[in-house]
Amino acid sequence: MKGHVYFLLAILLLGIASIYLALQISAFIPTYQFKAQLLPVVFGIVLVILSVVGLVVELKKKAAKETKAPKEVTTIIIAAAWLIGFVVLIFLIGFVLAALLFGGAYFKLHNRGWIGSIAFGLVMGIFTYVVFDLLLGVDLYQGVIYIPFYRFLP
Amino acid sequence: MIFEAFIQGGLLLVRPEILLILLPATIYGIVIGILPGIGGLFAVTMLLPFIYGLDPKFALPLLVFVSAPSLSAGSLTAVLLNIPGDAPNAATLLDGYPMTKKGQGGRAVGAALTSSAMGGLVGVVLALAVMPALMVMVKVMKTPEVWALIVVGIAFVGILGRRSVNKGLISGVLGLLISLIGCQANTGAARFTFGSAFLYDGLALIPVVLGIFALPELIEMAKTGSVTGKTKLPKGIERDVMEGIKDVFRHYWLHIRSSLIGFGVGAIPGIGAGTSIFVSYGQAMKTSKHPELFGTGIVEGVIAPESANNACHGGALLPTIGFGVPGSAGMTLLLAGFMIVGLVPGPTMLSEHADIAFSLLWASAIGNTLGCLICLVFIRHAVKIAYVSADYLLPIIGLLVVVGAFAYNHYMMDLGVLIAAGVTGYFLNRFGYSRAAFILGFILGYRFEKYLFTALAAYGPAFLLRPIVLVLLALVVYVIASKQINVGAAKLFRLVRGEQR
Repeated sequence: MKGHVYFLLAILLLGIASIYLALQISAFIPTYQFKAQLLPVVFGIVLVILSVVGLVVELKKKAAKETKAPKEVTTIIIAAAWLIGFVVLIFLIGFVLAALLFGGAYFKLHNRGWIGSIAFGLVMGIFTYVVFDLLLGVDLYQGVIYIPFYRFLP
Repeated sequence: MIFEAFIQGGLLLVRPEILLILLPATIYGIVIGILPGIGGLFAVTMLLPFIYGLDPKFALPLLVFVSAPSLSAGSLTAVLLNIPGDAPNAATLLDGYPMTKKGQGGRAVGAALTSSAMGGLVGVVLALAVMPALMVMVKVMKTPEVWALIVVGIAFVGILGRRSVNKGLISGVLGLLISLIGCQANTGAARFTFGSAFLYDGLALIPVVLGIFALPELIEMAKTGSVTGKTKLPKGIERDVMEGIKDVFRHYWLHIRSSLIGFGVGAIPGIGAGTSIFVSYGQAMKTSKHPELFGTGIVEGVIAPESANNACHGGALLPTIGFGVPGSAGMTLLLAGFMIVGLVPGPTMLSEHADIAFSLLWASAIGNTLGCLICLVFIRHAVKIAYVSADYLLPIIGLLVVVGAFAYNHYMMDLGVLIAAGVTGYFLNRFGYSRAAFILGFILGYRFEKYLFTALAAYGPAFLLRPIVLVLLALVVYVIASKQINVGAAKLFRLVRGEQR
């Protein structure tokens, strides 16, 4: 219940923020300004009303104990951290190397052997390059850190 | 004209590139459908980034080839392992798994897959039968009516699929609000861009869809690990499959009734297969000579929901193609597919691209039937897919999601949008909000605003008083307030009766 209350508060703040930001929109022609502001203000007001209704309902409920096990919360945070970490790694060293490292590291840290993890990482890296870059022509990002490895890829 | 478009639609699929992709796409749909808890929605989501730039006559049937067999495949794990492949398979395990425990797993599988295949075909036939009426209705609908339909679609998807009206509306309005980021179409005024050039074009569709649907599923997968755990695959399941196939013909009237229910429910925006299966199961129980046996493992309890959930697919295609308002959460993603390939479903779709519209019905029938045949022939091997560990799946699917989000526009900032959408999708899912309503609001927000201003310009505020618009908006108000209306009406009725005494 507590988590849901915070979520509704976030929605409420979002609604208020959208009304405020919408009223800051300016355009040269008054009718244009009205058109640009109309829906953000309307949706913002609706969100505020709905989130207040939701908060009232939620707070009226008898306070039930949060039953989420600590282990479950930790697992969720770790899974999210893996995904965000993967994106950060891509930003730093590019898709191919990030896929290689991410795949291998994930496998190793989930109780797999070194050989299997390295092999899996290599497969991920090669798969990424061959399928997306060569076959689909996606032109994958190579990262902000200059790595000579990419110069040797066809 | 309809017959010609129907034939042309079929001929669109008899091309080398379609025939080459048919089998791999169907197998992909089966594999994803069998993985417990993932389902056709995820299968289509993963394909969306890669259809950009493809010919619509290839890309859209591809999406249907993938989504149609996933429902049938999900019934395998529901029957044999007591784990539904997706939400629309939930009712199948009520009698399917008890049948397996009684040693009739093969019979249940045969009945489930045959019902699915035939239910899908019935749904397509019904859609064809209704298509002429739909084409007439579409011509009557002008801009104000289509705008009202968009309101109905978003409200229904948010409200009818969930218990809480408030949560459904919050989801839909949140999606609409997020869709406003960027430069306003009519005026060019920048909204919620914070001076960032990246946001001038608004948030890209693919990273948002992938973030909302795919990332929370990955987190759930990490949480649950291997869903099948130590559940053993029963032996000898291939034995009685033919008996199950014959059961569907023995109970042909139940099958037809359930398919009709699935089609009807699917055609109403926002409800989808998840509701149709329980309505169908309920009617099967009520009309059975032995209702007390339902839940103990009888074949009727498998035939009813499986017929409904596949017929629903044909029904849900109709409002999606005809009005651009999805009939189900899965159709929301098909709508996204339309937009990615540059087609706008709605009133013009049936007049200018009728062949593509009919090709989707053909694709639904073919994909569903082929998927069922493959599952029937390779039952044991197909179910083994459900045992693949999350340690393999999570990195591979995570990679596909991230590359997919990047491949759309080649902007690294889209990965930031992906993460933000993922966080939003996780919390929406966690607290019981409709992600489909959010995505629908996000997709339709542009058209919502465009049609609103067009209707205002053409008719003034009086467009709200047009008969069809009034009926549709009244329907939304009724659905939102139905609980209160019913309670109030009951009180009034009791009051009147009391006064008469």
